[in-house]
Amino acid sequence: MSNSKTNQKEEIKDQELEKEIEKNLIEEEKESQKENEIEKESQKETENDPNKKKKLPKMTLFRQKAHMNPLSLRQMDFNLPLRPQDMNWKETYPNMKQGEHIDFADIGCGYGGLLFKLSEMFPDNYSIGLEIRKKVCNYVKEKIIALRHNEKGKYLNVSALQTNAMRTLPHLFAKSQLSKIFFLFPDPEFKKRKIKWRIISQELLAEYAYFMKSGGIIYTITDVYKLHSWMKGHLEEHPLFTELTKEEYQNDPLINVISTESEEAKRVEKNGGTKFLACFKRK
Amino acid sequence: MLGCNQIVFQKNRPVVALSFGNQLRVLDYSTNKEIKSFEYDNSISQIAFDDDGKNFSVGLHNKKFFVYDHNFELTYSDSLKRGNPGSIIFHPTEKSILITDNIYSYKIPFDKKKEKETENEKEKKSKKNKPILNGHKTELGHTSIITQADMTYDKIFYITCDIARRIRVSNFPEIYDIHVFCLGHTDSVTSMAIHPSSSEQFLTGGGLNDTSIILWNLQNGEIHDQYKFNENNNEQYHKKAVLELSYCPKDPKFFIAILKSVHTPFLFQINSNKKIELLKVINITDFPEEDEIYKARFDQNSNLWISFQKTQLIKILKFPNWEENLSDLENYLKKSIEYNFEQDFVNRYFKRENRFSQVTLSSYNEEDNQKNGNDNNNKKERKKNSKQKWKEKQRQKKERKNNSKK
Repeated sequence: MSNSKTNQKEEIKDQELEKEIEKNLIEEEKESQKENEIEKESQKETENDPNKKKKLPKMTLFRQKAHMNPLSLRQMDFNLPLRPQDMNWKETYPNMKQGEHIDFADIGCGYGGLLFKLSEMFPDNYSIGLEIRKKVCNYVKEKIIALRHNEKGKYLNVSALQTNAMRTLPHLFAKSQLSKIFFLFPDPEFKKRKIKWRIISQELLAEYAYFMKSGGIIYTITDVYKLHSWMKGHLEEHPLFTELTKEEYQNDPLINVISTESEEAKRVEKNGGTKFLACFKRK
Repeated sequence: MLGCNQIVFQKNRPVVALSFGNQLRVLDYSTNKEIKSFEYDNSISQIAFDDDGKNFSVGLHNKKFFVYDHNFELTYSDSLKRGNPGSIIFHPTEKSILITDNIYSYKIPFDKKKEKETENEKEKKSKKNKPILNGHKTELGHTSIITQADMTYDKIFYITCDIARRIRVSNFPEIYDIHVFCLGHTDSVTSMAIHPSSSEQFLTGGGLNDTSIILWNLQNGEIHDQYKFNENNNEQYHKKAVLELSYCPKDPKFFIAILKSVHTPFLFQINSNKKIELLKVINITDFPEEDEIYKARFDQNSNLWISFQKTQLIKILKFPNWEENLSDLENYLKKSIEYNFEQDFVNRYFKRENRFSQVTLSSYNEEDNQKNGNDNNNKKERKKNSKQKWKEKQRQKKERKNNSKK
């Protein structure tokens, strides 16, 4: 008898809790909607006025879960044309001329810290960032639009695209087109059944070698020693890649950029972790 | 009763290997005499001959494969770990095999006999970061299931097709070096045919939503010509995959195409301008009831062999008159084969065999959207439903405790 009474009381409490939770959720959604509307109105005003500066987007509004399955067939139709010759790059790069093509590719660009530094260091070369998460890619796109509006004539050689790099690279690039590819702090899938989700494996290295010129360089950096030994072992076994010499490590200005510029690198410095480098050259 | 699921010819001699379920017959079709017959535990998925005729290999549906001598004596047997063997090719110079798994393709030597693993090899395999998978050396890897794999007659290129509408042409001895990607299909690639005398062109056929045949230029990766069965909104061949393509070896201007669940094979011709033309739609007399064509291959004497799914018939048509040339093979086969399968085995067998022709990309998206409600508007409802389910579970637990106490 006593148990039934306590159950009734608990049920009433659960129902009240549910209502409170729903109310809080609805209020939070309304607040976020209001913030977005205010920002959109402010942006509309600044679109027509070149004197006013646009606000850069906030990272907190564009958070998304980090782990996605890259091998699922659901994430294949991104409405890309079948051949790289049919791709229209003028929407993203308005100053691109005939005969020019993309040179640098950042696979897994995240929130785009490296891309904006590359556009300053190499103003004549075009670079692209590939990201599989939708919200994070939208953040980079909005940031590019805001920066292009604030500083005229700059950041015209950078863009971001939402794709699955494991499946759609032959639709974007032609043979021996790229000169540099970046893999910064990729996902270390520790479990055995998730090893096939890793971005560097013996099978995918053949495709990366197909898209790169002879003399092109792959840059990899990680936080985790297991992943570092995995990537370095695969690259050493592949007969088309050779490791950089010590002189080339010192003379290359990009190696400091890699370890300090992206958002993941800054997070690693805060936590006091060590970084492991592995850079290889294509024959 | 099940029909013939593999027809494989040898290049030098008039020898054919036929498989009916788990039985295999090797025949000499000029004299209609049987050379050898085998019987296995499980159904057969692939057969392959060597170019010189000295080696012979068989792959089964329980992930095993065997290699035989020219006298049909067993020399090597092994098993794969990931899936059933998809296609088997012999290396021209070394004594090894190129086998495709679901996603990878391996190079396995059959020269040495399998020795017991030493302690050093076991230590090497225990390291998790070692790039060699499954004990065999991987030569090639796709990110989705490989449907076709073959080599040109020159042995210069190695071509693989997969479900993700991708065709990869890689150099032969160095398979890690890709030559070109051929992109043009809008659905999975289900069939492929290789030219018997030139290494400049080859054919592929598309899947459910893309019933078309494409003639490729091997050096560039560009399209010479594409033939669509559903032009001008003609819905006669809507949602039918191209199952088989085969060149006529004596006159490789002509080739045959077969669609799934269509009773008529199609005859095509390639012009000097490298364009595809439809010549004739072939009608087969005495077509068995409630049955479908399964395989069709050309002979070395340019006869067309056709096999069916459920009956044990094999029809042989002569080219170019297309008169039926029923030899004594039919009577021989009917008498000698007697076996009974359970109904469960039959259903599983058909699902495996018809797997690649039924798979498409759009089918995944449609079914998943209907099941889970994958739109963004339903996220709030899903969250609420998940919370309610969790609370219901807790209430049920309490009820069980209370009932147990009472």
